[in-house]
Amino acid sequence: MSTPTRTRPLRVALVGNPNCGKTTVFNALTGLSQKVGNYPGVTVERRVGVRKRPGGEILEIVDIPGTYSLGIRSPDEAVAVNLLMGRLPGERSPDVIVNVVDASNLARNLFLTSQLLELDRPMVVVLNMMDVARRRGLVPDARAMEEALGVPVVPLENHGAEAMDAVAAAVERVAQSPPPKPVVPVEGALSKSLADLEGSLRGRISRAAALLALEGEETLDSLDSSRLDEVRAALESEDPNWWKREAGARYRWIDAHLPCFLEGECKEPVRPDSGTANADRILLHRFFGPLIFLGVMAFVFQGIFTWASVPSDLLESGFNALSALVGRWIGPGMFHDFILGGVLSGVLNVLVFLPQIVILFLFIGFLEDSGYMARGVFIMDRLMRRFGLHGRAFVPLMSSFACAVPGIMSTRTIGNPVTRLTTILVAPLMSCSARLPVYTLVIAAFFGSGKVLGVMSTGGLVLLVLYALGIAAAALMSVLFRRFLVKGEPPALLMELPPYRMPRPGAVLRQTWVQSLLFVKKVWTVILIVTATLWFLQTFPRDESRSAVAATQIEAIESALRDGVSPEIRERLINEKRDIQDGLRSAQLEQSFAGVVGKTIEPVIRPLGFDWRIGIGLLASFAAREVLVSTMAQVFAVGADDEDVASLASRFRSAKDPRTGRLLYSPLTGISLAVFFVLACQCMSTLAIVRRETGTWRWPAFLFGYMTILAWVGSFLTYQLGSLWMA
Amino acid sequence: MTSNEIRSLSDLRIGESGVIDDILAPRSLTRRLLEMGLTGGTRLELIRLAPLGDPLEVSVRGYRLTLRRDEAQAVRLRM
Repeated sequence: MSTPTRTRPLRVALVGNPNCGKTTVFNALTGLSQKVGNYPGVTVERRVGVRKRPGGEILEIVDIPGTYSLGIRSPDEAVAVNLLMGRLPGERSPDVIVNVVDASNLARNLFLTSQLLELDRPMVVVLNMMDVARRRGLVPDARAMEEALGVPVVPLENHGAEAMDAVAAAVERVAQSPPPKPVVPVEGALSKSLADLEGSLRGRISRAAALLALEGEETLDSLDSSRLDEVRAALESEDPNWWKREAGARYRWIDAHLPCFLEGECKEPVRPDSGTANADRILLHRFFGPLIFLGVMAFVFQGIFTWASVPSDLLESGFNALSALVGRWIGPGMFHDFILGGVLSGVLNVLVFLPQIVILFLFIGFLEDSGYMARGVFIMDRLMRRFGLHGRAFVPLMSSFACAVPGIMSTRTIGNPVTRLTTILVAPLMSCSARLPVYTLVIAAFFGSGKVLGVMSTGGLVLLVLYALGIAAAALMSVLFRRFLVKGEPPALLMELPPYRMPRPGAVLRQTWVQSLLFVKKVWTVILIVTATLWFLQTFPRDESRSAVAATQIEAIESALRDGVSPEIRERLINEKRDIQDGLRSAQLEQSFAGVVGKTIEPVIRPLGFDWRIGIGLLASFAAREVLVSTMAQVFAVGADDEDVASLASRFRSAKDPRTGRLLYSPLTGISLAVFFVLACQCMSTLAIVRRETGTWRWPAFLFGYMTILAWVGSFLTYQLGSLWMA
Repeated sequence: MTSNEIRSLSDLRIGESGVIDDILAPRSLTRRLLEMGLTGGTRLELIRLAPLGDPLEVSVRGYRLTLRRDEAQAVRLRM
């Protein structure tokens, strides 16, 4: 008897509670074949993989977002339910449902199971986390469960090939059998309403679909909405608590069957998970808990801030080496400059984020997988809620102190769209590491030079104030947004504290890899285009006559050097050559499009204490905040070789207006500039990632808009009030 | 051992437990609490509070659930 071969793959949906170990099962079933992306229009992760069977059939396995029930209260749940019912456009409805059940948490997991049985689809139950169950003295009886549920129940002793084959075999078996029947009885008014619906319908529907329709969460295609409203209204008036009763009935059924599902005595665990309980005594201690958590966060932060700099520096030297190679290959000229300044520079601007993203996601992966992240959320929730946010917002916000790009990417752990959006909108106000060079320049120019960090001087104090300003702004904007803009019901917490477990390196690495790849894929176009555009604006139009004059002068110097001169004269000539080159670059910048922009916006930024030179800096630093420093260096003809910030700082401080001879900038300008950078969104990469995470250009535009206004107002107040105070 | 005293989950002290009598919350929150296993007759024990006094950690149906004080307020227990 030959097995009928399918013309298309068997579609399998993997469903289960959060924390039931579904991901491990999915990884074991699909191996390296899995592809990760998003469902269109939402930031719900879509994970699909395949498993080839020995008979040649292919199982296409979709990992559905973890859920506790078939309700629709979040984008995750909407995707889950709609996909299971075959209502998600572009997604085939599943042929078989595989329900992964946490064996150590049977009662709550079986709630979802009882609902899945009402979907009218073939189903297999997989008992996962058997080791955890056994440790607590729980031994599930798979046979008894099979009999009561009417579907195969596959206990997993491990996630090896044999176990996965057993699951796949069960899937194939049920695919060709009639679907299971609901096990939880319905009574009373609900039963009558279901019968009414069935009578009015043009076709059959599953009980699950009918219940969702009655709850008001779904409409039914095969029934016109007025009839549905009728039945719904009748039910509500006859038994307003019908939905409470329905949930209660499920648990009553579960409670009645649990003793026979568990070998041994009782339905309550014999032993609580003592390892977890003991760990929580310390980690959730009222005093030590937060301390430990802040310590862990400091560690993560340090990691992103400091460790990422090693690969970042490597990337930069690699880039420089590559540029030199390309330079030699192409030869000097416009094309050369474009490739270096526009293209390669853009590529570097994308890649430079990877070390930070990788480190953050590795950390987050380990924290989530070990179960500790839930404890962090538990500790921080109250504080976050003060500002209209959620405990889960803490890690993204804290990471944004290093860099908002990975911080914003990590907001995907915040399930609720309202809190998530608010978090994304305020994360860039957390002073990221790229602002530090700007702060350093300002402090070195006007508040004494020397090392800024680690010195509690005026400089150190200024730094602290700037960081505090960012936090205060974020807190304020968060409250305002939640009240006026991103309205919506604050989501309930209702979070499980899972037992602690050893994080699995494989899963964490895989997730990190996927996120990093998605980042590059989605932002490289924007970043490349913006980089090239800014390069263009700063390079054109060129004053050919001026460069010709400079070239002549340089040629004269070089021939003099070739003739041989004394060391002091040599030194002088080299400096002179450098000055000519710096002066040329400065002049060309001034008369480029960027210079035009700078001079055009000067009236707008003059009340902030800025001039057109800073204006050019603001334009250029849109690519990345730290570019302000190198741009100002170029404006002031301070050579690119002058790594010493002090030299630029002193030029900045002593710069004079060529017409009046007065000092261009005062300490107040410096502070105003710093305040501007605290509050402004001078980062194309942030906007690109917000576009990716929100799926639209509306929010990045809003983000840029509100932060620019905020920055302008902040600088204005700083400069004007400061001037008044000084006068 | 249950008396006839009804208290809110949010009024419990650490280590105290009670049996769920009713949930007085808006529909969607109530539904979610029910789905998580907080049905009538289920026993809850308050394990701890977060450092700022909110949220709460309770033990229910063999697992640990955290919920905010105002969510816990709606859960009425018979002690």
